[in-house]
Parts: sequence; C-alpha cells; structure tokens
Amino acid sequence: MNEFLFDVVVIGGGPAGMAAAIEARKNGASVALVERNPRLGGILLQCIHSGFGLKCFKQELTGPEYAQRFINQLDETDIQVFLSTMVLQITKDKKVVCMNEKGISVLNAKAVVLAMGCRERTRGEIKIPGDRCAGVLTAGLAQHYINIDNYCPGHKFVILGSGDIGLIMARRLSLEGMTVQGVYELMPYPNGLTRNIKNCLEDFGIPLHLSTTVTRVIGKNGRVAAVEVTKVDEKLQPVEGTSEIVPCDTLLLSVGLVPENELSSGAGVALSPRTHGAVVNDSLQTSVPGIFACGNVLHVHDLADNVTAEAQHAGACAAVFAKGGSREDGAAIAVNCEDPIGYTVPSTICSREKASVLFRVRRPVENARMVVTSEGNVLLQGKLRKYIPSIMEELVLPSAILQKAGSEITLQIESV
Amino acid sequence: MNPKELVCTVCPNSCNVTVERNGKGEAVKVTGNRCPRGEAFAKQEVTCPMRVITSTVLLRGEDGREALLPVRSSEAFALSKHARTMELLRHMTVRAPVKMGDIVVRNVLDTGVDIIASCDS
Ligand SMILES: Cc1cc2nc3c(=O)[nH]c(=O)nc-3n(C[C@H](O)[C@H](O)[C@H](O)COP(=O)(O)OP(=O)(O)OC[C@H]3O[C@@H](n4cnc5c(N)ncnc54)[C@H](O)[C@@H]3O)c2cc1C
Ligand code: SF4
Repeated sequence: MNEFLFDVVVIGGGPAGMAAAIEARKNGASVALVERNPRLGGILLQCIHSGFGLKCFKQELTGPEYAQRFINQLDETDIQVFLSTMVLQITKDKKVVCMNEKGISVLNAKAVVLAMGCRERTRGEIKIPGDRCAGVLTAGLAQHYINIDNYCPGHKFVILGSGDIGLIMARRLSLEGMTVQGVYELMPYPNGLTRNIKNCLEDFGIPLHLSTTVTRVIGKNGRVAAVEVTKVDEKLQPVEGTSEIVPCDTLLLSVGLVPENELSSGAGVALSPRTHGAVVNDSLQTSVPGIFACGNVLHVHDLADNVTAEAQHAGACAAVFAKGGSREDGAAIAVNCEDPIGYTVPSTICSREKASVLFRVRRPVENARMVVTSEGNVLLQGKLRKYIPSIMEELVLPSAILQKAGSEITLQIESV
Repeated sequence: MNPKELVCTVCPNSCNVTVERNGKGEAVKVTGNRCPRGEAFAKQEVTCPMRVITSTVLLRGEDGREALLPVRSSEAFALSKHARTMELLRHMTVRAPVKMGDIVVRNVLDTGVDIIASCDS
C-alpha cells in the first residue's frame, strides 16, 4: 500500500474540485486532486450546451469548454492529479483511502476538500406507481448516453420535471430527431431558467404542462408504452377525472438532485436536513475541523460559475488551515432563515470581515424585500424585487453589519 | 400586426419585452427592456431568431476507437438553419487529436459561422 502526504487533498474533479485545488495551490499548499473518472470535468463533460462562464469569463461557453479552461490551468501547476481513482473512505483524522488499478493508497491530508457533486433523484424516490418496465430513466443519465456514449435511449419521450436538465434534454432530443411529447411539471410554475423555457421548449414547439404530474407508468412487453398524466390541485394532489394517457417509449425524470455525501458521513461530517449537504461555517468548513465542502456536494447549484467561486473560497480556506492558520476572528454567529427562504449556506459565520450568504426561496415571491435582523434589531433592508426558486441568491454581509450582529442573524423575505 | 411578447435571453435578468411590429413583421418599437442589448435582441428575434447550436460529432481516436467530440457554433446563427446543420454533423467524423477551438466545419451553410471543437480530445 502506497502512502502520500499532502497539505490539501481535494476529492472530485468537477468544476468545484478543480477550482478548489488551483486556489489551494495558489495559497502555497501542496495539493492532490482525486477523480474516479478517467477525465477531469465532472458533470460538465456531458453538458455540451452553452450557458456556462457568463460570470467567470464574461462569455457564454459550453460545459466542455468551461472545463477545458480549468484543465489547462491545472496543467500549468504541480498539483498531483489522480485519475481513474475512487475515494473509498475519509477518516476523521483525514486519511483519504483511494483505490485504482495499482491497488489501494492512502493520502494523508492536513485538510480535505469535499467536491463529489450530486446525483439525480430516481423513480423510487418520487414513487411513481405503475409497471416496472424498462424505459424510465433520469434526464442526466439520458444526457450521458446521448452526449458521451452515443446510445439512443428511446424514440418518443415524456419528460417529468421542468428543471434545467429536463429542459436541456428536451432540446437535445429534438435536435437529434426524437419526439418529445411534452414536459410535465407538478408545481404551478416552471423550475428551470426562463431562457431555457424559451430556447429549449418554445423554439421546438414542445408543450409545457404545469400543475400536472405522471400518475402511472404503463408498460407493454417489458418496455414503457405510455404514461398516465393527471392535473394536480393547490395541495399537489391529483384531481380525479383529469387523467390522460400519453403514448411514449421513454419517461425521463428531471426531478431534482441530491448531494452525494456517503463519504462525508463516514468522516463524521454533520449534514443539514435542508440541503442534504454538510453544515458549514463561512470558511466552508464542516463540523470536522480541516474538512471543507463546496459545489454540488454542499448544496445544489444551477450555475457552474457559482460553483467555481464557492470552491475557490473553500480551497483558499483549506490551504490556510493546512498551514495552521485560521480565518475565524469572533464567536460564531448563527445564520437562521424564515419561510419562504429554504436554506442558507453557511449556517454560521465566524469571520467579522465580510461574509457571503447563499440562499434559495422555496416558491416564487413577487415584490418582496430582504430583511436581516439580529436579536430583534433590523441590520439591513434590501430593495423590492422578485425571488424565484430556480435562482440561487447571494447576500453579502459587510464587516460593519457583522460587527453589529449578536449571536444570531435571521434572513427574512417580506412580501409587500 | 399584433405586438409580440417575449423574454430577452441575453442575460439572466430575463426581461419581459413587448415588440410592436409593422405590416412586414419588423419591430418598430420595443418596450420593457432594461438595456439596449434587449432592444437589439427583440428586433432580431421577431424577424430571424439566432441561436448558438451545440451537438457532437464522431471522433476517431489515434488508436482507431470511436468516441464523441462535443462541438458548438462559434456564434449564434439563424435557428431556421439548425436542422440542416444537425443533419450535416450527424454524418461527420473527425480524427484525433483535436484542440478546443479547432474548426470542424468552416462557414457552415454559408452562415459565416464555424463549427468548432468544445474541448481537447
Ligand atoms: C444537465 C445539467 C445542466 C446544467 N446546465 C448548466 C448551465 O447551463 N450553466 C451552468 O452554469 N451550470 C449548469 N449546470 C450546473 C453545473 O454544471 C453544476 O452545478 C456543476 O458542474 C457542479 O460541479 P461539482 O464540481 O460540484 O460537481 P460535478 O461536476 O458533479 O463533479 C463531481 C466529481 O466528483 C467525482 N467523484 C464523486 N465521488 C467520488 C469519489 N468517491 N472518488 C473520486 N471522485 C469522485 C465525480 O466523478 C465528478 O467528476 C448543469 C448541471 C447539469 C447536471
Ligand atoms: S434587456 Fe438587457 S437587462 Fe434585460 S434581459 Fe435583455 S440584456 Fe438583460
């Protein structure tokens, strides 16, 4: 068994892992990056559409282009990249156990950055009744089949869920000459970005059915033959008498992503029931000192650019920790939030310099303003605007506000 | 002609834009846009919508193995030409090695736009 020693070990070679590794190296740490696939890039490699890089590079790139730019940057460093290498375990004392063709090796780390991404929710998780036949798959898997493996997973599709992955796949399938019968969304509003509704559905004449869900899968000879779709009421319950049968041979599910945290739990990292990612402070440090998290393993992002920015911060903080430093210059301020805000990252703030708080609303709100209070005092009031669930929001708290805060702050969104 | 409502997709602000049109379908007045880029977009959109296309082409590796190479158009071009472009790309094979930005099809369908490789391969 081989043993190595690094200041910082980064797990996962997607945009999060690559940015964290580069930034940790820039901050003087010796760095290893471990990726289970034979190539770096993570989910970006299959996201061949454009829509990346508007913030980071001020131009619209495709997923592979966005990844390539970071791969090129990595090539210019002495960061040790382990490809085709799977991390099996992270121990509390930060031993990273990996496996590849050569066998098992242990990377001893002073700091670890978790950047394992997320996985898609499946049929089992949303419990669609009906026949258990072939032809039900997640949208991201279909994307991998079509864009990487050159397989054709079906001919006539129904897509459940109007998240960006479902919308992007609707366009991709249409371009490849397959039929998309329609996109069905349980909620009364679309879940994806407006630009994707326009460019992926309207351009191709694909109907979007809101407040409608798939209530049954109908199979024939072991393959999907049709699905039953039904309208739902305000409580999201199917309305009797509104069912329709839509013939198709494949049902694509775009019903959400879940951070992939088995390794984190194994290391004793506390997880948040709201994000299913680690509970972190404003250094993106988890409940285990020296273990940091960023990207989709921390909370689900819609923009790779936000992943990159978050990961750079995690990488820099990990390097500081590995060198024995700390960014924490005050008692922790707990960050709370009230409905309609679904969650915040981080959940505590230790620095008094400046902190960025990311959050998402649970449902769309028009004409609302952000109000930040601490122990009953109003610290900050935002402008009137709209908030929608498909966009992750950032609130930057300047030093002046952090100095005034007590042991907690609460984020609220007040409708006017 | 009736005014047309559309969403500007140039930046994430996604402004709702209304376009008033003359008899020929051309834009005469654009409202609701928060910046000049929105006006240009709306004028283009009601006459000839332009999009970037992304797809894949077959890549033959140096070892003879086949894989897919992601490609894109260097710029947006007429949406009406996308279907024919797809037909072209579907029947193409390129040889490795390829660098990001390498031209795969020059001046596709006389649009003045190239199809280029999205990554090294
Ligand atoms: C279909 C789709 C469309 C999208 N469209 C856009 C868009 O248009 N614009 C935009 O900005 N963003 C878009 N995004 C979002 C963006 O791509 C993601 O948020 C981002 O790629 C997440 O980066 P990540 O590094 O956290 O995770 P990932 O890219 O998933 O990378 C995680 C990496 O960790 C590796 N890994 C996991 N476990 C282990 C282990 N045990 N050992 C070793 N390696 C491991 C995985 O193999 C993977 O490479 C899209 C996402 C999807 C899925
Ligand atoms: S009009 Fe301007 S601000 Fe509004 S979406 Fe278009 S480019 Fe963005």
